[in-house]
Amino acid sequence: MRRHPTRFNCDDVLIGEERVEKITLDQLKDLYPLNQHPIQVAEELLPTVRTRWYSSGRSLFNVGDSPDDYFYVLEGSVVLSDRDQQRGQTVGPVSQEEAIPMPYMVPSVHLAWAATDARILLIDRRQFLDVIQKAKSRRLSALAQSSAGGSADLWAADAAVSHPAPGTVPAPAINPGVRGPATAPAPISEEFERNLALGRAQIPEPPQTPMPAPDEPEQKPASEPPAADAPLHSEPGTAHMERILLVEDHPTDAKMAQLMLKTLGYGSDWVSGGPQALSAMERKRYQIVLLDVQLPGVDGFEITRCIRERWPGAAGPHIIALTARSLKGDREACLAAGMDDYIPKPISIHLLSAKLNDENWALVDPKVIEHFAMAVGKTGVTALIDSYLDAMPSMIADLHKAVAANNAKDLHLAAHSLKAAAQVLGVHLIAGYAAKLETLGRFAKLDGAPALLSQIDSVRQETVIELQKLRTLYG
Amino acid sequence: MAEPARELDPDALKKLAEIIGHDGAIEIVQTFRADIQNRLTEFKTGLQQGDLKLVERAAHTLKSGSAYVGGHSFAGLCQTLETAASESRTEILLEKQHEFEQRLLRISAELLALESGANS
Repeated sequence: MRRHPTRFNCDDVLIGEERVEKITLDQLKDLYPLNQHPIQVAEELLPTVRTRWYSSGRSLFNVGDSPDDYFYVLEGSVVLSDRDQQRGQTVGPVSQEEAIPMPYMVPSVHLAWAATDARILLIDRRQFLDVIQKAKSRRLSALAQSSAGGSADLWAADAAVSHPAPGTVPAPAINPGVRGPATAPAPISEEFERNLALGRAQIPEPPQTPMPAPDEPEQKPASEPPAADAPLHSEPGTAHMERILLVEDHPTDAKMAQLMLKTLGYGSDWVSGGPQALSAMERKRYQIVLLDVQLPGVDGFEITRCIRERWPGAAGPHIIALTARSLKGDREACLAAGMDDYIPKPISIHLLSAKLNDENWALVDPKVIEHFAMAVGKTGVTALIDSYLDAMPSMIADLHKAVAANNAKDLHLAAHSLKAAAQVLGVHLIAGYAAKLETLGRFAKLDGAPALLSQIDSVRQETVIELQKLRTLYG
Repeated sequence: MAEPARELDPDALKKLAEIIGHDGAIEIVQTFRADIQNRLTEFKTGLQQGDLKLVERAAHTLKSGSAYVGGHSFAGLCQTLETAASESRTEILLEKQHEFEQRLLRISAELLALESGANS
């Protein structure tokens, strides 16, 4: 049952442990250190957080994980537009007309959120990280339980842990990475409502379900020789529990991908072809399959079809295509074949990280451009895209010059320009890298700059392709 | 006679290490170097037997591998060969074969030097 919008009074808002009656922008600014940029903070908090800033000419602020979750901070009030509502039906004093979507920097301010339906809790960074970790643990526990149970529905398992027990605060939704029918949200008790309003709501503890070790080896005697189609190499994970199968026939590419995954804390098994992948999946449940498209014999498209047939719906893994071609139309071909996402080669470690954390992460966010089109029209949008595409090479060249000359001031300026231009069009990944470079420039710490710059280089072509595709929609 | 230009970015190992650590970078260099001979054989065999799929695959593999170790110019040559093979442009493949083999040998030698330097 869809609930009505909840009017959000400032009395309902918590900051940390403290209930506040009125939130001002200054109070928000005090929450975080001055040298932290919202994008940087958001990335550190959770790579799945999508960030957007809107301005009506006054002070608006927004952070959410979904394009439809908006916080508006306007003249001391907080307004929530929840994901169940039609866009434009904001709650509170800000009308959609007033909230002309314009990218807007709110320096040094960041709000984390934990909202389900029309409920909201503002929490500090540490709490937010805690919520994310616990939600992830619960989700993985549920996955492990459903695997053990055989016939359990993964979506149902996820849904069950997504709704809070009475007296607890709903955790933010984590991308489930599984398919299945959406379920109606469970009702939240009056006691929870009361506790939330009184500032007594608690973050739920994860259930004490034993977790399987990551990439735990199958129970085989040590002396038994490996099966002919056993993974060629397994890397244990350190921080993440996801089970990842890498299907890649090129040894160097496979090694590179496994080392990147290892750097990011993910364990993985590597097989070199489609039949081996299917065999591995029969033996072990994988949540994510990184699949090279151009495999000899049976290609990635065919393997995807086999996987989707063999493990339909919720039983199937999240499949991310790896391809060196990066051609227009490749992404569509991958999605049409049943893959969920796409990573161009050579792989960018930051893009890989972003994709593993949020399968909906986009190099370019179409919603931002859509909002912009509402304000400036199609012609304005195409002009803006053209302008960005024209300027991007020279802006990146300026970054290269600044890094080569070890000139922190120039790096700061060049990165700031690129960041601002990228943000306007929702080019999140490049904007994020540029923001980090800007910070490095500001503090004259250029050690990490070359690596960040190479990441920008590695995604720029794909970004251009994405923007050109979007431009055709408005041109 | 002038020395042939270096194939690999001298900072390649450092750049790789920034992403996957020093040991990881060495592993990549070793893995790529160990695979070169197989791909060269694949390329030659494919060309001799008219199996251009094999040629395309070898060029494709060497393209991404060489890009990781800083052989960007050579990766460009591989792209040319990959495209030529996919379009059955055998004359381009034959024209570029000698250059391809010579440069691949230089890459192999430079990788060996990188490994030795890193281990010493």
